[in-house]
Amino acid sequence: MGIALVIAFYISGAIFLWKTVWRFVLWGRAVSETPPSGRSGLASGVLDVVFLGRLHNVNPGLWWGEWFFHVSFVLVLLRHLVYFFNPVPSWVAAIQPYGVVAGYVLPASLLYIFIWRFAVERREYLSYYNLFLTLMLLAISVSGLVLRLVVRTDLVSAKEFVMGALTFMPVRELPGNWLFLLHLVLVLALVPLLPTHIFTAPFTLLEARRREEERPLHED
Amino acid sequence: MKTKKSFAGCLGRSELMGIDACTQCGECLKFCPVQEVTGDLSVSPPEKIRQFREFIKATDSLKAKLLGPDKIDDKLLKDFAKAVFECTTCGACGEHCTVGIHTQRLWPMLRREMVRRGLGPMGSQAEYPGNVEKTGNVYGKPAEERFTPWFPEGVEVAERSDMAYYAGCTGAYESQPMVRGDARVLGAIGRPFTMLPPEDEVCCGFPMFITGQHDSLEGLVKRLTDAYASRGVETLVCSCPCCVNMMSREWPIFYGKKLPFKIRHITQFVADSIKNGKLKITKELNERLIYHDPCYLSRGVGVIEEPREVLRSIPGVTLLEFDRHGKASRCCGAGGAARKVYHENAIAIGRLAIDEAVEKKADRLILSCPACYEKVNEAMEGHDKKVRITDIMELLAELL
Repeated sequence: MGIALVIAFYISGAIFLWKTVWRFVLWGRAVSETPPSGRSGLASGVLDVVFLGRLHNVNPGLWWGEWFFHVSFVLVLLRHLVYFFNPVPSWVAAIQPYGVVAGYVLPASLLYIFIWRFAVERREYLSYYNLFLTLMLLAISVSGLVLRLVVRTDLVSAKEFVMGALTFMPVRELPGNWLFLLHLVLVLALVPLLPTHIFTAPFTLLEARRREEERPLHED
Repeated sequence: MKTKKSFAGCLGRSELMGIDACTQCGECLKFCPVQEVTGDLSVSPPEKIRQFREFIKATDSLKAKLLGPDKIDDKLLKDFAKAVFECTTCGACGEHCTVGIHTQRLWPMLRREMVRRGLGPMGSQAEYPGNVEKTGNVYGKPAEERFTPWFPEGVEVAERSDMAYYAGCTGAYESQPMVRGDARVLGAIGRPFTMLPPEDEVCCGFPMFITGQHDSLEGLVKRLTDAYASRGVETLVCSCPCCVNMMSREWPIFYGKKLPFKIRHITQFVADSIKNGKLKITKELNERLIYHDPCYLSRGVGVIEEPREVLRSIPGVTLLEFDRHGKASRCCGAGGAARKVYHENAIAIGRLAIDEAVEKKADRLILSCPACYEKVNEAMEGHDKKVRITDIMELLAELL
């Protein structure tokens, strides 16, 4: 079973890597018809990226859930870097308390989004992919929280498993307990499914601001 | 259909990244005028993007490269083409997009891909390039009738000038009160301006650009740009938002470099003339006016304040606003060259504007786009609510 998990680890990473490289090749091959960007709108564009400003403008209610989700997701991700480094860098150690708090915020924000979309707004349009991702993230974050609070696992063996896979010296024993395995399998299933907007949305947000501030009919 | 032609092939980097950036959140649906009148989710912006991602995967993924492209159902492709051409390209979805996708440019690019595959253009749109080649305008009407039916007597046109006026095909052939108003106001301002002869003032290229028929665009753009440059033009004034958008956003791309003159919408020039005292409106108009922002003027090039400055300068006027105005304005239904093909949608959307104007007790609905002018007037025929429709320059000319 341990070796199956290691293979899943590699397959998950390889698919993600391949999809990412494929996208970059596709973007790289495409022609750029629009003139070079310049720096207009850069500052406000960065604020749009960090604070999801455009979402706030169109749906302030949903914005609360989405902003806390994105921030807590990043913090939880950074906190988990502790399992990928040996020795652990000081900045990863410093981020741990924030990551712990984010671990509570993450499922709460997902629940909020879920309730907002389906109970408050009663949306007609539904992306099944988004729904699936939301449920998957909810399962991952809740299982992670339960692992921290209720069903404690052997974190040393978990780290040994990850480090072994990363250094291509895989550990054959299954790490942790059944809940940890479920948590890990869900994460491995999520990685290839991560939405592409994580790479491209910052670009489109910056471009949108540049367009807004360009105003070709107002130039001298 | 099994096709080897890449679906990503004719998209620019920005469009490809835009397609990848869509989060499928569906916020844009609240602002889509076609959704508002049809309720058909299959023609919604996120659904079109989701479908196009599948097409790209079918021809450009590793699996497609190694094992050959996936088969794409013919009906799926045809339905997609219909959805892309049914759109009014108003760009409200992009304006309200949570990740800022430039949909006002993305949809025409997807149309270009459909044209490349023989799935577009739709209906009479296919006649545009041939008509322009024969007559200089998309309607196939005689070039010699471009100016004569409406150009006001007594307004002088210079042979050469640093300023030129471009009337545009829709204004010249379908919304003549509007362009007559333009010429009368320009005449009243008194600054010399030139115009190309009717056989040389050909289509700006927008109808072909918007329907994905790009083959003739480079030639048209070069022909017009060089003609204006040869007359010493430094500022080209136009009242059609679609032409203005095409000239300022796309002409430099097809021309291959910066244009040798500035582009200005007529309301910008008139607002400046009012400010510096060259145009005085002395007649009073005790009316409640409601101004509709054309999509390609407000969202497209950010001309929002100037038309309002012009209207506020009329003594006695009370200016009202639509609930959705400025960059957030709702399409009148005439955009994207869809008005002649998806006529019922255009009429239904146009009536939404009429209804709101009537509800707000406006005496007049003020427009500043020839396509809006033509279609909203048509939408009022047989409609139970009525409001007087006037173009902004037509109104100003009445008050001179």
